[in-house]
Amino acid sequence: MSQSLKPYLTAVRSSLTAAICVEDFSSQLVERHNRPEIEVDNTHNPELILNPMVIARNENEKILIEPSINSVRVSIKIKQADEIEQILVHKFTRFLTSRAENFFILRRVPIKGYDISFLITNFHTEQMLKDKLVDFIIEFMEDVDKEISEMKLFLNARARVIAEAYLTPFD
Amino acid sequence: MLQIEPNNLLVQKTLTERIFPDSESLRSVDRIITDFDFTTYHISTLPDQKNLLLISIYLKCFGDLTKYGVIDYLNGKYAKYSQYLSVLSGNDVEQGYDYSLVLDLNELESIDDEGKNDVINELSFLKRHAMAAPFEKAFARYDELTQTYANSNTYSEEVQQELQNEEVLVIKYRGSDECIYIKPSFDRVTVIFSTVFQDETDKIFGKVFLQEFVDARKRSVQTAPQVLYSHKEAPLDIQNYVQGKKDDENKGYITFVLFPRHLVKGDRRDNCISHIQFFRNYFHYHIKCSKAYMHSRMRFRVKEFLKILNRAKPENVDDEGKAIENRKTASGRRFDVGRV
Amino acid sequence: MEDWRRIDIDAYEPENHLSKEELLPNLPATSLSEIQTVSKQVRTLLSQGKFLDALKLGLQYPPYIASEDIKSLHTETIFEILCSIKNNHNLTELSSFIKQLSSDEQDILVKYLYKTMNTSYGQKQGGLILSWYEKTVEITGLGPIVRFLSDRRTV
Repeated sequence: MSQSLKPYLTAVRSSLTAAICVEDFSSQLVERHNRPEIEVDNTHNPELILNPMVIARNENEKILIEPSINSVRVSIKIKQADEIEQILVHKFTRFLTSRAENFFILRRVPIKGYDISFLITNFHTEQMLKDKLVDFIIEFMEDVDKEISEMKLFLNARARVIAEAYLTPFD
Repeated sequence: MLQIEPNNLLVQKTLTERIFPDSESLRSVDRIITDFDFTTYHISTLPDQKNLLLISIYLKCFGDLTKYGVIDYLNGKYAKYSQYLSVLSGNDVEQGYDYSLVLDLNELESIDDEGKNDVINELSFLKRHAMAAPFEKAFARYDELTQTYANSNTYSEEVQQELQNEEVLVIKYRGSDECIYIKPSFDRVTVIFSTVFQDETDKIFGKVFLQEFVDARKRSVQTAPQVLYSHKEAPLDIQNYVQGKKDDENKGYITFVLFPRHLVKGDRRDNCISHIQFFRNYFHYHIKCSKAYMHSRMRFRVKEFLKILNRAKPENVDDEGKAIENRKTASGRRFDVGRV
Repeated sequence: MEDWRRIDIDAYEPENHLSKEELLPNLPATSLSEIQTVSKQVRTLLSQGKFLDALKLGLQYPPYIASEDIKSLHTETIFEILCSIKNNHNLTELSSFIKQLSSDEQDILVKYLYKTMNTSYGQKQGGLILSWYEKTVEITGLGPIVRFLSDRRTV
C-alpha cells in the first residue's frame, strides 16, 4: 500500500462513520412525503443539511461527503493519471451504475466533478449494518484503484504480445 | 488464437466436403460465405450439371484491384490447375460477384488426394490472392526501381524528386475511410493503412496497441518492418490521395516500411503479402478481444462488490446471498433487523 | 404520539421555516485587518520557532462571521502553520502538538483540516493534511468530526 493511501482511507472511514448518522424524517414541505433531504432543493429547510466535507489525497483522488438529517451522499473521484485510465474508469463506473438496483446505495448518476456517487438513506441503515456499509465503501475505493491499474497493466502487456506476434513472422 | 488465418476455413471445408463426399450421390450445393471486409463467397453447383462447382467472390474494393491487374494475377495463380479449373471471363462472371471459377469434379477424380488438397487450399486463399495483386505490382515496381537506381546517386535531388512522384497504389478495401496505400521506392516499399475507430475506447486501446507496434522494433524484433503511427493527420506521402473527411478525429494512419530483407522473392515475399494485407483485421480483432476481456473482468469485480455489500445485511444472508438461519453473535444473542 | 390536537401546524408553513441567515450564529463579525494582524503575528512566531504558540494563536480567532475572502485568508494562515510544523518536526511529534491543544482548539483544527482539503493548495499537499488529520483523530476520536458536521460556526 502506498504511503498516503492508508491515512486517506482512515480519514474516509472516520468521516463516514461520523456522517452516517441518520434518522427517519418526513418532509416538512410536502405532507406524507419522505425523501432523502440531501437530494431535495433545500432552500426552504437549510437546517436539515449539515456541513459537507471533502477528503482529498491529491487533486485527482478525493471524496465528497454530504450529510443531511435522513441521508448521506458520498461521491468519489477515482484516480485517473492518463487517458487510458480515464477510459477504464469511465467504462467501469458506467458498468456499475447500469447495475445500480443491485447495489441499493449506488446512485445512478454521479455528482458533477466526481466519478461515482452513493446515496445512503435511513432506510438503508435500518436494514444494513452501518459499519459494514462503511467497510464496503472503503473496500470499494481500494479495489477500484487496484482493478484499474491491473487492467491497464494487462492492456499494455497484451499490446506488447500482439505487436510482437504480428511483427515477428515478417522475417 | 493469436493470428488470423489468411485463408477462409469455411470455403476450405465446403470444398473438402464436396471433393471428398461421404456418400456416392452428388447433392447440389448452394452456399454463401461471408468473410471480413464485406467479402462474400458463393459456392454453388450449376443447375443441370452437378459435377460442376461454381466458386465466386465479391470484394468491395475489386474496382481498385482491377486497376492493379488482379484478374491477370489470379488467372496466373490458377493457371496450373487449368485441367479441371476454368476461370470465367468477363461476361460469364456470376452476377453480383467479381470473379468466378468453375471446378470440374469429374476431371478432378483422376487426381491423387494430394493434388486435390492442393486445389482446395489454393481456392481457400482466393481473397488473399486477390488482395495480393496490388502488392505484387508494387513489389515488382520496387524490383524495377532497384535496378534503375542501382548505380546512381540516390541522394541527388532529381532522383529524390522522381521517387517522390512515384505513383501510390490505393485500395479502398472498406470504403474511402479505410484504405491501404502502397508506395514503392528503390530501397523500400511503404504500406500505409488508414483506419477508423468506432468509439473512444477503440481509439485509446488502438493507441496503446500501436505504441507497442512502434516500440517493438526497438525492443525485441529488430528485423521487423518499421512502424509509424499518426493520428488524424495523413502522412506526407499519401496526402494527395486521401479521400473523404480529412480531419476526422477517429481516423488513424499506420505506416509500415518494408525493407529489402522482407521483399526477397519467393516464400518470404508471399508470406509478407499474406501477413500485411490483414493488418487491419488483426488489429481491430485484438482491440475487440481486449474489450471483451475487460468486460468479463468488470463482471467479476461487480460480483465481488455485491458480495461485500451483502455482508452489510444482518438479515441472515451469507456472501452468496443465500439465507442463513439463526445467525448469532458469540454470546449467543441474535441479530435483530432494525437494531443497527 | 403526543396529543395531535396540540401540534402547532402553523410552524410548518413555508414562511415560518428557518432561513439560512437565521442559522448563522450570533457572534461579532471579524474584519480583514484583524485577520491580517493575526497572520503577521503568526509569521513572526513561526520565524522565532514558537510553533505551538503560532498554532494556538491561529486557532484562537477563527473568523466565524466574515466574508468568504477573509475566511480563506485565515485558512491559508492556518495551512502555513501546519506546513511549517510538519516540515520542522517528524510525524510522531505532531501528536504532542495536538495533545497540548484544548478541546475547543482541537475542534477548530479539525474544521480547518476539512476546509484545507477542499482547496486546491491543500489537495496538492494531501499527504501532509492527511497525516495531521490522522494524528488528530487518533487523539480526539470522532467527536470533533461530528461537531464539524453540525456546527453552524463554519470557518
